[in-house]
Amino acid sequence: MHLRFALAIVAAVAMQARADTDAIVHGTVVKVEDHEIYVDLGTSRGIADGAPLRLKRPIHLKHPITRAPISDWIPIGAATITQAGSTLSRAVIGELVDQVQPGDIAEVLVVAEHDASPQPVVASGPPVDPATQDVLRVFAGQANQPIDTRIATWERYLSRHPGSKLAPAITTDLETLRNLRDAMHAPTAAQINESVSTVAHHAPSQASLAAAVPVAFVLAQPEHVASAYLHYRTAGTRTYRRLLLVREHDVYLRGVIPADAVRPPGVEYFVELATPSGRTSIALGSPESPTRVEVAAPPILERFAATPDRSSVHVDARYLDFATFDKRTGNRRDTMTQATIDFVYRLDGRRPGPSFVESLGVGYGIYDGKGGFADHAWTASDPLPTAGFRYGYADIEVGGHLASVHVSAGGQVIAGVGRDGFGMGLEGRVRLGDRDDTNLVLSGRTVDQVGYLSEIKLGVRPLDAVMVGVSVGATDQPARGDTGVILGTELELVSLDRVSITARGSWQGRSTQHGGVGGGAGVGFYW
Amino acid sequence: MRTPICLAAIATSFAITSAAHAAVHVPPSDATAGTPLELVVEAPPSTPSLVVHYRAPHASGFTALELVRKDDAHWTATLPGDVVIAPGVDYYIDAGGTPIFASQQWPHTTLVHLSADDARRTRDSLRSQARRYRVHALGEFVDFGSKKTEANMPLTDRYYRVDADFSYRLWAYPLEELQFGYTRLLGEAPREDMTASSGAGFKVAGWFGLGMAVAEGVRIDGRAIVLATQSGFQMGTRGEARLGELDGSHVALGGEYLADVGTSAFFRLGWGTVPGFPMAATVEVTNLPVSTNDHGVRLFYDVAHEVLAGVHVGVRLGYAARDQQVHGFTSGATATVDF
Repeated sequence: MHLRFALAIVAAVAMQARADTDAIVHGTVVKVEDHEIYVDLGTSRGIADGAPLRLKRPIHLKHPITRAPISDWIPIGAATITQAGSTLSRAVIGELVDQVQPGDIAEVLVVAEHDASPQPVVASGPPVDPATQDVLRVFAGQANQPIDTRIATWERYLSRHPGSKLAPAITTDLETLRNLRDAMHAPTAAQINESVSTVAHHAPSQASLAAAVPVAFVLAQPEHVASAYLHYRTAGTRTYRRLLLVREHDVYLRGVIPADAVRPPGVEYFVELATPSGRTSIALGSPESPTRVEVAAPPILERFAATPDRSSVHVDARYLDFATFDKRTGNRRDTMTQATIDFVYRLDGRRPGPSFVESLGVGYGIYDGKGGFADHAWTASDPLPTAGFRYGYADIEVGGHLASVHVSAGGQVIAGVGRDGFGMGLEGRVRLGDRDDTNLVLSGRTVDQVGYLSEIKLGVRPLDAVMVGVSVGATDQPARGDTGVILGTELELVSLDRVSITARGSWQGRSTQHGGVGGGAGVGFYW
Repeated sequence: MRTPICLAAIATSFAITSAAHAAVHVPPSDATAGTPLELVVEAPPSTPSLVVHYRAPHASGFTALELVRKDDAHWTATLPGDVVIAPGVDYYIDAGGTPIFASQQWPHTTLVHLSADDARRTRDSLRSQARRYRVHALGEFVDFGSKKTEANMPLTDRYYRVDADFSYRLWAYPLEELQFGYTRLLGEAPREDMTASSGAGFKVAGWFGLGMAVAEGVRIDGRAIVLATQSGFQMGTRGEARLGELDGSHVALGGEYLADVGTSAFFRLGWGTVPGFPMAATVEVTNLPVSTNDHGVRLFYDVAHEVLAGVHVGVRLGYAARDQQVHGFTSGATATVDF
């Protein structure tokens, strides 16, 4: 029913346009040059020098009720034909040329021999509800109106009927019109600064984090104002978001700054007014000097909130044999076993986030080793040396983004007991890339009574469920013996529900003759 | 000055519009909790009865309060402080029953702020579920394993420890908490000549502690301890610096000195990411139970669960070693009652 009635209105508008063409010759702008244009109308169509010329921009909209496509136009300006040719005419239009583009409609008035005034058209159709009638009335009144007027009319309607069932469709059309206006001519600073009205407003001094902020403004000259926008942003961000304020009791403009914009260090806003003709003005603050409401940063305690997916524990064990392939005679045993249990709390969650301290950890580990030398054959009089270390550690990793690359640095403080009693150790590392994705880690560790390990490890994630690591390291562990090389690979399945499983393999050697293989496994739990 | 538009500057404009708009109200910027809130309406004396309808947060209905004339152009009403509650007070105004500012369907909300200390106290109260008292007990048995003497006799190295304490959350910032407690620590440790083990520790120690927090979530606990050891009256102290919440996710670094008995330093990582099961892992370097002992390293893991409202019980499991060959285990239990 609404559709039929709406189509009748559309037909009425169209019929009115046809009546106007009785006295008007239509053409198109075909060329735009410095201060002049050419149109495809000439003396063959009755055009003469000095004939008045109107220029219009065709626009394509949708009907607010039926959503049927509608072709309409908006006026650009008027001029006169400077020189009429047989098929083309030239018009010098001066500064107006900036707003004209090829394809615009050119209409030249040819003296009409009859009254072309359109006859009133009475639309027939079934009755519609008052809200739809309101929208149809506003829409019908926009025909052939300048774009600023169309925008102001719809904004005025929306500000007074924010709950209308047709508001979403009108909002869509409004955005189309705004984009068109921006494409045609952005308002100049002088236009924006022209005063339409002032508003009285007491800004809140502070707001709570992530809590919406209601605001109300009182118009000093409500009769001058069709609509108003609140432009708001989180302080420190570049762009403002726009909110059409609700007009209430004629003099009040009300709105609510959404909670997601209310973040530290504050929220900023200014108010823009529009007149019924579409002229706009800043009424409170400005883009450069907005009104500001402070928002306090959350306490440090919030950084430790009970957010899931931040905690994990990994249990790992590895066994390295440096002499598997040493075929020389004698006891050349050279092995090392290492096991750790590692508790980690991710302050940034399992995906990178805005956190300087990214993780904190604590853990416990053991080293046990035998041998440690490339060319030593152990005998009864020169027995195989053993080494061991039991240690705990605290771990921290800090990081951020440098030129869009995630970079972090971490370290461990190690304290433990070994063959010679209490000892300390340190580990440092630098990571390029996200730890849950492709990343490169350069690390160094030295532990009292055990030795050092320097390592470069590349981790990649070829599949969402799989991480693969390749490492190259140098070490004199487990007993500060000869330096050897470790070439390691590891495969980690990470798609299991809150569990990951790791398998490792390695080749290590302290000389060409003294080398061997190793392996290990690990399991991680996340919650 | 934060008020962006001076009312005086537009007073003339409002005078003009007042004929068309009989009553104008500029809502106040915000309010302080518990402080009466004055609302002013600019309206001529002939205006029909002006009534403000207000409600505190979460209140079901509005309360009506008639505005009174302040002068020829202004009417006023003051909302009582007990409805001025964070996060905001809702109201609308009508004249003769017709809304002139906001409406019952969409009242205006004036934001209400707490003072910094009150806001913090409110958050602390929410976290603790308004329980300001805590009774806590911890018992643990720590075994570093047994070495052998040259005569092949065992050298035991172990102790048990019981801590019982009472805390009151004062929330007089930066002082957050007062603590009183009792500790008992008894065990056996190798003598310095490593010929045998002998008794170590103390039967009773009392202590008093303060929990200071210069910022929310940044806490320093200090403790002064008096103890009666095998050599007589002695002193001790304990300190802990902590980021985060003790019963939730946190990281802590601390140390303890007990004269004759030993010292310890620890690093603890706690997490509250599993609802209802706060956990912590701690690495500790210590020479307890006797100060002449070698230092050893412990790792222990705590997990607790709320079995009744405000009642948590937990267990502690751990591993301890004083050298690479000899090790032992830690076990313990905790109970906490908040009320």
